[in-house]
Amino acid sequence: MKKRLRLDVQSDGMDGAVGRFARELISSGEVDRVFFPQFDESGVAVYGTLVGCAEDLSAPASLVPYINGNKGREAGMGVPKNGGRRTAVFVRPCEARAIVELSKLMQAYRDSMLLVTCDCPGTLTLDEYKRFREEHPEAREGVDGFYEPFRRGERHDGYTVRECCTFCESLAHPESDIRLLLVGAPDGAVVVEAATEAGEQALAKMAMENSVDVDETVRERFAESQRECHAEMESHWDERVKSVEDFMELVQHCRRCYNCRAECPICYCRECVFQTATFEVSQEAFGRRADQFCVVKMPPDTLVFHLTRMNHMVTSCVSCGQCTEACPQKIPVGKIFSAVGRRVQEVFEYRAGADPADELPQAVFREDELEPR
Amino acid sequence: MEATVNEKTPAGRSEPETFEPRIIAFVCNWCTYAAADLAGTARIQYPPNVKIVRLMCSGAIDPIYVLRALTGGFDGVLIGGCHPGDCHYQTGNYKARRRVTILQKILEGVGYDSERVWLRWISASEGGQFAATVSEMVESLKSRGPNVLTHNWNK
Ligand code: SF4
Ligand code: SF4
Repeated sequence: MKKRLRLDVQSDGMDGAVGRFARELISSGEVDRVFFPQFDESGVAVYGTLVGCAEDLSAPASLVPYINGNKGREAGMGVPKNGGRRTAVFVRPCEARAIVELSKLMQAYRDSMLLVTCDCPGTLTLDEYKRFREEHPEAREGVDGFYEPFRRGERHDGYTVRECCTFCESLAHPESDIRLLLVGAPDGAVVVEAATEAGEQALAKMAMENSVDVDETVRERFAESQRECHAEMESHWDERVKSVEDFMELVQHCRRCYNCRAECPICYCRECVFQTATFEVSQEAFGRRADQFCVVKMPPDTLVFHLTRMNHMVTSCVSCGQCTEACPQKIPVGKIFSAVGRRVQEVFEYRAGADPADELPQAVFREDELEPR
Repeated sequence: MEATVNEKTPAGRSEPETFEPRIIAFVCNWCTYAAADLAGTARIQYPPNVKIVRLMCSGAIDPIYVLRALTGGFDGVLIGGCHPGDCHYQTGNYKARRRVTILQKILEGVGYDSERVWLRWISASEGGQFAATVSEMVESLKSRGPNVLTHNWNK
């Protein structure tokens, strides 16, 4: 039985309670720093912050239903190698998955982190978040209300979550050290679960009520509905993309602005090949292409761009959907990469972001596998 | 970086009956390239549809080369490497196999016919095998028809 503590939600709301817990981790000496999402002075914008002093974690926003990009990469930037789990990192499951993948690429150090993730009902697009905040100038009651149906294992209908969240399969991240359970949690509480030995140790000295229960049937019901939504997305993809022309229709309007690549936590190259001389087309070369094909689109190589990005990172796509958020042309990039990524990952029985021990499919091979033999 | 065929090929002009697939072959210097050479010196007949590009190893294949070829006017891409265990650099062919598998799965995922990309092991002594592979690929591509990407400018 995993160790589960009760974190009481007081007048500071759920976000406040989680903030309190994070401060406690610092002040008890369990960690030196925390990486934690906080409101800036406006009380609206949310950023990841690296906090060294407990009292400066004063505007906690880890449950506000908006994430300003996938913070997995930023957490990776702020936690040094061989840090001995001295930084607690509070992120969403898709961000934790990015951390696991980036660790394999040595662009984050998962082993230096005390990884803390929450049950996630999905987050809002920036526009939806703005509406949410207009309706709830006081973030605290808005947040607690937002999570109410979720805690009962239901999907909320008042606000539309981002497209990738609608087919997300992870209620909680399996490889975190500590998980904050909300679905099936008793009223007025967030349940803090130690999921690994490191998590267990960190919680050992916490002055919180021990061994609370969560309603597992509610959790299972929600997980089941997630699996159904994912399966629906997959079958929809199969119907929608029957030929490469269908695919080209999905990415039509692409400006090749590279925003999707810039926002992707997994796109790990320091210098993208598309921004090197390799893909610079000279005036002469454009002319030759026009002569050869009679007509050439500008900017060219939309298909080569998307398929190459896939070749580089789709085995590690964590389906966070930040590419979709970043796309000025409203291309469902995250859905595309998730659907294709799943097919490729299946070949290698690989799940991006799940298990740090699984090797990157691109980085290894076996002698007796695949075709031709 | 240009990977296009030389002839001017105005949009949609080739009739299905006269369709001659264009193949680009990326072949390893130590095996398939020598096999192609051998096929030539031994005067083994094979269709002239293939243009050969020599790589130092099948493991040097970058998916960008393949994608550029498929959007640049070729109907099929053949990648030739040494048989498992025979790679001049020990493991390049195994890496190529992973890379090509990933590429093929991606192509399938976006609705493209991944059978236009072939990876085959052909050793330096297998001139006949090289010729047979090219003939087989030409037949396969003829039955598949022209590459839809060649004359689609919105790519
Ligand atoms: S963000 Fe959108 S428009 Fe820009 S390159 Fe990516 S898919 Fe194309
Ligand atoms: S491709 Fe999109 S969904 Fe996948 S990891 Fe990158 S940003 Fe997230």
